[in-house]
Amino acid sequence: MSDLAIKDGTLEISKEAHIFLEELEYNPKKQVFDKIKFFGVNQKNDIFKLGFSIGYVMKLEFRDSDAASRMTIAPRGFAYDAYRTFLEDEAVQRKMSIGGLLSAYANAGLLFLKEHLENGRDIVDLFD
Amino acid sequence: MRLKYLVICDIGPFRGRHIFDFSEKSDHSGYAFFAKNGRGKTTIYNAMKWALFGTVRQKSKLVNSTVVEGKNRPVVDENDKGTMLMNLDAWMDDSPQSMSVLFVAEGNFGELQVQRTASSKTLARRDKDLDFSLSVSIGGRSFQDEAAEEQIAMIFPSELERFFFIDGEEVETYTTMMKSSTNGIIDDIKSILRLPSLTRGVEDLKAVRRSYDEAIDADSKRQLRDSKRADKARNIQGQLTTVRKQVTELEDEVKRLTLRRDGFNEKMSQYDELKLFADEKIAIDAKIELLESSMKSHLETFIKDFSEAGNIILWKRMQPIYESLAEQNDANQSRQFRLDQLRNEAGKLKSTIDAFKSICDKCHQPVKNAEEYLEQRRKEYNDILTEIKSHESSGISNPKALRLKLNALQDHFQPSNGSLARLKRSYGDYTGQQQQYLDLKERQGRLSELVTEDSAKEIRDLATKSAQTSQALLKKEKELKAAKFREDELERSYSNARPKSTDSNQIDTVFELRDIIKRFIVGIEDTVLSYSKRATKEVELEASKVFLELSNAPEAFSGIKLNNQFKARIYGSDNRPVINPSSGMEVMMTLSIIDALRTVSRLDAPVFFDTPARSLDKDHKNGMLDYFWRKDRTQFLIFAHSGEFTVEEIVENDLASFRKAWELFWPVDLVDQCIHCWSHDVAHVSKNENSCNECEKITDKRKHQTNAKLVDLTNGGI
Repeated sequence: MSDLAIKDGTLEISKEAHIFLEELEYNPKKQVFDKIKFFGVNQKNDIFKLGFSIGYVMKLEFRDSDAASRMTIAPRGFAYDAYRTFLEDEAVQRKMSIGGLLSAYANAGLLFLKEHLENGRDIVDLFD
Repeated sequence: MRLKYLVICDIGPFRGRHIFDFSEKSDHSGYAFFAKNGRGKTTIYNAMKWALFGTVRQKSKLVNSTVVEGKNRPVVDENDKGTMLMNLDAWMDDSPQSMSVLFVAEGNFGELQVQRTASSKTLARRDKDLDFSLSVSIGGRSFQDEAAEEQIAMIFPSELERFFFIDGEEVETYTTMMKSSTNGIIDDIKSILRLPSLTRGVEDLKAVRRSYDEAIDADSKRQLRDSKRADKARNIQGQLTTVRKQVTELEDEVKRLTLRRDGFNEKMSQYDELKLFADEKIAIDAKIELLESSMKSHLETFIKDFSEAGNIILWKRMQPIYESLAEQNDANQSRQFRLDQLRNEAGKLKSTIDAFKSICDKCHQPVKNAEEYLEQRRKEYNDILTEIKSHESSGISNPKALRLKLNALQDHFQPSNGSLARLKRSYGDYTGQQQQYLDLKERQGRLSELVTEDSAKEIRDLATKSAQTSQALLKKEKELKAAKFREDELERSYSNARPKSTDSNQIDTVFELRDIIKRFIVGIEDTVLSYSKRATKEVELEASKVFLELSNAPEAFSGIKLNNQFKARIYGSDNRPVINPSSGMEVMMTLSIIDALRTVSRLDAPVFFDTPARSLDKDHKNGMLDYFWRKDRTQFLIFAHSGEFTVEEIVENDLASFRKAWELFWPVDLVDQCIHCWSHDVAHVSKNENSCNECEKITDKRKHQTNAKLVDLTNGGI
């Protein structure tokens, strides 16, 4: 572990990933059943974690995005410290905050998932 | 009225048919039957009574100054042959048995024929075994049985029977009654004056008036009750009016809704073809709606299960790290445990070495091999220290940090057991439903192309309206049924509660009728009283006239007087009541009153007088016949016992001013004479039998069969 103090940082993803993220949310008021919804409203933490997990596990390359167009995820009580336990070294290495590293993986993961589904593939494939 | 014929058949001692002819017209009114006892005088008398009234009573008796009528005599009675009316031989020998009487008379109504018959095809032991028949012909009109009885009663009122069928044996009884003015004679006198009909009429009217009084009384009570009932009835009627209005309104509403529903159904029939698609679309819409509801539930489950999706994927990478850290942690914990163990052993060895002494405390002798033992302990101690150092140098620097990491991974990233399986299952369920949903949506889309939204909407609207109308109709029909039930209930309650008779006109009519009857009663009572007084006076005058004619000393009497109770007394010429009149005078008084009553009553019927001279001395009985058998009087028939009158006596005394007379004989009464044709040309056949040489019939002296012989009145008669 580096002695360098790694900041928590902000959680933010690209607009494209954010739009996709919202598409995965199920809004009971809209009740659209022709598309698969995976998460409830106020579950952005879980969607973000899914994106991060895909990006991190699959070691996806980070995708550049216009910093101005990034959309912030502002989850309350996000467990930075828990992520820090296994990301701190990489964050030091990449000279990124924990939030920055998480966001980069999540952004990549979400966009991967978007393409995966758009290609007609099943999300369950990702679990095998 | 004149009696023309009497035909009797098989009655009393008369065997077979016997005809008595009274038809020849004459100024003389007298007819007589003479006979010894048992020959049938009273039988003829009774035969006429039976023909006219259907009954013949035994002699009446006077009990405590009241006339007690005798019992009816039977036509047949096997247990009392002495009183039965039918001829015994006819009863025992004939089949069928029969007894009959024909009574023929003539009056201002024309000819009257009365024929009464009692007959039986089998042996009749009692009257109940007989068939009775009555036929009456009046002026050519025929009547049978009950109608015939009514016709006879109009001509011969039964209550007047006593005054044209006079029984000499009862005259004494009459006399006693007249003298004591008992109730019996009052009734009889009233009967002869024809007052009972008026009196009965008054009683009947009084009964009617009483019934009206009761009705009026009941009405006033009812009015009181009715006022209470009326209040209740009005209340119910108010409810009934409301309910009836409801019923009418509901009937209209049901009619309107029925028409409306039928209208919708008719319109819907125009969409029959499209309706199939529309119905399918409606069904699919409903299925989709149902599925959406189900999907929502499954989606919520899936979302809950899918919330672990990030951890499940991440754990693929985290799991080895976590396991490595866990292994490190376990090793560290084992080493630490070993260190603690070694340090403990080292401490114990150090204490042992420090405390060891080479001289024994107890025996104070030197310990054997002490140095060797001590050296060995020091070696062990050093080995332990070496091992401790080795463990201390090989351990991780921060075990606490290691545990924190492990906890972080475990708490935040380790998926729960079976989470992947649950996720896959709920995902499968949900996606399965979603596929179904998409299929239905596709079919719905196709149907939407076939059924335009407008027509579908119209069909839907029509179906909805029809259903709503049917529902409303059902509701109204239920309400109507309930209202009608309520109406029925109220009608019944009203019917029970309302006054039964509210027709005030009816009770007014009762009042009016009662007043009219009241006036009638007063009028009739006045009339009865007035008539009674006048009739009594008339009877007095007539009876006095007769009495004076009958009396053999008319100059000694002024006549007969009747008081209000019709108590009769003979008055002397000094206008005082005669004290202790003779029995003959009293009998004459009675006969005078009877004749006067008949005269006053205008009773037009022959007089039949059985044993007329009983209790009369010669002068009185002659006077009686002299009076009753005069010209232009009603027919007067006497049935005289040989002890009262004889033909010879009458002829000798120049009393034979009657038209006809008969003598009644039994064979035993005749000496060498035929009982059948009255011929004297007979021959003895045996001790008791004669044979007639003219009619060739046998006269058997042992038989009690009567035959009537017409008396030759050529010399003394008309």
